[in-house]
Amino acid sequence: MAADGLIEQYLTSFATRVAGRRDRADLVDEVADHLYSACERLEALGVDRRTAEQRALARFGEPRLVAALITSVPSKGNIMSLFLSRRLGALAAVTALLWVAAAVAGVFGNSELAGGWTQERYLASSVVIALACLSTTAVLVGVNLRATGRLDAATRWIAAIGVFSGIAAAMLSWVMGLWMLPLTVAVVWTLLRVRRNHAGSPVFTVVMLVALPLAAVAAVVGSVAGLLTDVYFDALSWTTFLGLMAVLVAGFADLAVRLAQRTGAHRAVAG
Amino acid sequence: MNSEALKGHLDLLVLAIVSGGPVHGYGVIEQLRDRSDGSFDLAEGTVYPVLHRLERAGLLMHEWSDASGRRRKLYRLTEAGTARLSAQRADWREFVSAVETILRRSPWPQTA
Repeated sequence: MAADGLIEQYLTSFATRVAGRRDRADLVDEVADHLYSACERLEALGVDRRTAEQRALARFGEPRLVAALITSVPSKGNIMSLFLSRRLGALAAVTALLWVAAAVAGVFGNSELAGGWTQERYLASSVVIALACLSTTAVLVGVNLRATGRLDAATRWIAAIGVFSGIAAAMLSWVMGLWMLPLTVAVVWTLLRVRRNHAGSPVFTVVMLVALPLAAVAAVVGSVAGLLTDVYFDALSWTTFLGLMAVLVAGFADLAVRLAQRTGAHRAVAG
Repeated sequence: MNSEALKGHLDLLVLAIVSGGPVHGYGVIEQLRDRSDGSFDLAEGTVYPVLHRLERAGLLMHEWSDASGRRRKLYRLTEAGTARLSAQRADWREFVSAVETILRRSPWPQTA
């Protein structure tokens, strides 16, 4: 077996694409056995080694495509994936509702738009926004676990950043930049990590990847300017706030619906 | 043979091949190709998602063997898989015979 042969290269490439799976060693061994078997069969027919490797690989399919197809099926031992898909769908739905509540509460609690401002309203809105941040964090952790099958360092960081956003929202919800920025970092980091096997729609993923950083930057600019100059940028703040809410509600509702469809499909296969 | 046409029946074909005894993924592909005289010839990597999905659904199970000098994953049917295969086989035969009847284009009602 050529140590640096084409099959070895293919297997290395395939292995990085299934790196998030707990059963990656088994997946790589299974593919390796296939490729070497195919190659040996061609060699037995008189084909030289290099041509045999090329043909075996061409027949097998491109590593990115094959890895994507294989990882689309959760492994038998990886019950976490299906378990999480079910719980995660419900949690994503709750999170979408919490963001709707947060948007309404934010308008009531942080502005004069809906009658006079009161401290109670502000505190109530802070609690709702903080809950939405924490619920979002829980979904993000679930999405990471589902994609990678383990609680790795990046997932722990995302959890910590998400919890920080929740605490910031509870303490100082009116300084939007303070909680929007970490929340955005947690969401965007997660989406970038799990892009390949994210259950949500690719369109919403792109929308979130573009809109959330923009909203976060606008929130930080608005917060800093508000703190430094005493001029409160109402229009900018509310556009940012409601824009962020709309994107999050759409993203989580989409995730909830798609996960529900997926677990429905799994039940149909198993049934 | 159009690979799209094959896709819808792949589960049944894979179950039928695995029912012949413990077999690895490459063996499934080989038999699919050989037993169909080369008609069923698909990108070989695509058989694994099918095998894994059938295993998840409880229709297949696997064991590892080192007999070939490499780790080899061998699949076999579970009881549920055997039951599913015979049910799907019966469905398929019924379907084929119904289609055949129509394709024969015999005048109907036929008077012998």
